[in-house]
Amino acid sequence: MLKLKNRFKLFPYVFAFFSVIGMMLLNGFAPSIALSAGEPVKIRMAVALGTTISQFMLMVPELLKHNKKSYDLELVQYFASSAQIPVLAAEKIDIGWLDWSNMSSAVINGGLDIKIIADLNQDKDPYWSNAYAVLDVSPYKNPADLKGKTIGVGAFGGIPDFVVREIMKKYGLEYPKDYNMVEVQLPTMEAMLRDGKIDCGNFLNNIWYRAQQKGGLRILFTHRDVFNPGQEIMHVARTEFIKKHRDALVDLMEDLIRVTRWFWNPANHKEAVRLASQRTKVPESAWEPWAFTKMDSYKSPDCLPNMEAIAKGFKWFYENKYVSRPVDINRYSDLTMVIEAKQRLESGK
Amino acid sequence: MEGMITTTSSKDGSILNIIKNIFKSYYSVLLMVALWELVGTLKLINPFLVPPLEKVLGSLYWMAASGILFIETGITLKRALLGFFISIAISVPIGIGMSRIKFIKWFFDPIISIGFPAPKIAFLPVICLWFGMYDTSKVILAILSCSFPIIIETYLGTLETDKFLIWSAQNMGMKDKKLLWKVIFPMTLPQIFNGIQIAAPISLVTIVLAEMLAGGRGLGAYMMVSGRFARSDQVFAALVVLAILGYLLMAAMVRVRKRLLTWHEEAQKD
Repeated sequence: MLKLKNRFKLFPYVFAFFSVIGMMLLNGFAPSIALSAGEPVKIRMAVALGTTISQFMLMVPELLKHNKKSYDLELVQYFASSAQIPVLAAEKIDIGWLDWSNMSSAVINGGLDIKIIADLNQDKDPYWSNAYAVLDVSPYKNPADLKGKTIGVGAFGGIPDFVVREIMKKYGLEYPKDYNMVEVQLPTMEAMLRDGKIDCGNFLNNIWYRAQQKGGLRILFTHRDVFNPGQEIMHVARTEFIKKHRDALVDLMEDLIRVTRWFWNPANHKEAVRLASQRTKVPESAWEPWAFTKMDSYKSPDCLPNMEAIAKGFKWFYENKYVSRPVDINRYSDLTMVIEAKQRLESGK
Repeated sequence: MEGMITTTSSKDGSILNIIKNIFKSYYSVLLMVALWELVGTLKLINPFLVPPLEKVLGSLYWMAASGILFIETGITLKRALLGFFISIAISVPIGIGMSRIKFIKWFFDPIISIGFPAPKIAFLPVICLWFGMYDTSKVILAILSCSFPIIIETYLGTLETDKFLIWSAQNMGMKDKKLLWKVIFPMTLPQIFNGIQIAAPISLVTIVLAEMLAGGRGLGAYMMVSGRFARSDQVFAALVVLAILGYLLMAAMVRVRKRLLTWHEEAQKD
């Protein structure tokens, strides 16, 4: 028998051994749900803020024909697209939402095997385009006037960041040499701008329309001034998950299309606004004038993303040396599910 | 605290003995590094979640070669040290004042009782709104975080000063001001140092967290931006730099303590 003193010397080795075993077990038995026949597939879907439709899905159960039957939907809120990259890698969610810059990073830098499966938000004329605003009383008339100033963006590494870099580049200004960019949480963007902490801020539609109620702000440039047309964010799914549960995903896409069309039907506008208000705890008056109208971001009624815009985005990201090679859009997309869902929905099956 | 840094002297200064001594002192760290390499080589975990050691070392090399390592580390260190030293300058007088003057104790006691357990990082959005997104807000947050342990340790240390020493000095006609400077303060130094040694890593952690949440350059912001671009190797490289930074900070604290307290009985015991 080892003396008590000597036993403690073995502790690091024992710890290391069980750590390796534990990691192997976690890796090997990471979420693979053994399904018996007929059990719905658990789908963990990340949802975004604003008026993105997928976040409202569970609020209209009467429209979800297949929920609890072929799939069991669990919605997980995320405030930033980049935060989902490690979560997708760890297989803690099955469907995420990314923009083309995050997707390029995830696929090329992170080595993730994910595919674009559906639309979430687009930038399309004459719908809303994410804005970069200044104080009305400020002397800034065009982006060149922001030389030496501070611009607030929601997060580095996303499209709002690159819109700023690209438009400033057009005026011969380089970051960080000629101007400053800081990360500001989107809900505090208005306060930071009005308080003079930043000179220009990035506004999403819901935050902009709320800020407009107080007035005193002016749009200097928009996302569309740089990327036109643009695909803001899209739904992506792990390839492995698609292979295993394609049928359930087709059903989910069918329900998503149905919900999208319902929310954007002018006849349901009042109820849609009520649901949005209920979900976000923001008064209906803040949503009513613009949500689910032409003043809102465009959502494809067929949930089909703008693949041309995405491909351009991938190319831009590569040409600006953020990744070592461009993402092959054909390899990293699978729209067959949403197309099949659309056909099924329209044929009435 | 002293146990963190074990200085083993070897009679024979040969390279083999030095390596042996390093292994004896840091075998657990070396074991973790070996485990990391094993996990990376065998791909036991998704390489995005735990990048292989050589990739992280490659990123470190790139960070050093491009100068980013020194710039970002310098920014973080500058903020951490500024917050740390300002908090010492503010907190030690408050702690001593609380033990000596009733009004100061009355004023600060409830503030410390409420403020100490509160998570200071939660104040970051408000502090950024008031003081901007750059150094000022982060240094202020570091000062807030570091002050409480130093005040508490100083206050308790001053209260626990040997009464016999104070009475002896007073019997010899020492005035209050001189008593504070010549007797109370020196005797309280070990406890003040306890507070300072607790505050040092808190300062670094607070600054890194503030940089991660509020941006504005530094290692914390670098980690967040690297994460946004799915460069987990760069994230881990920054973590390694932070670990080394923290270790060096603590080692420096131990050495400064030994130097400043050579006359104290705790040093005599060694």
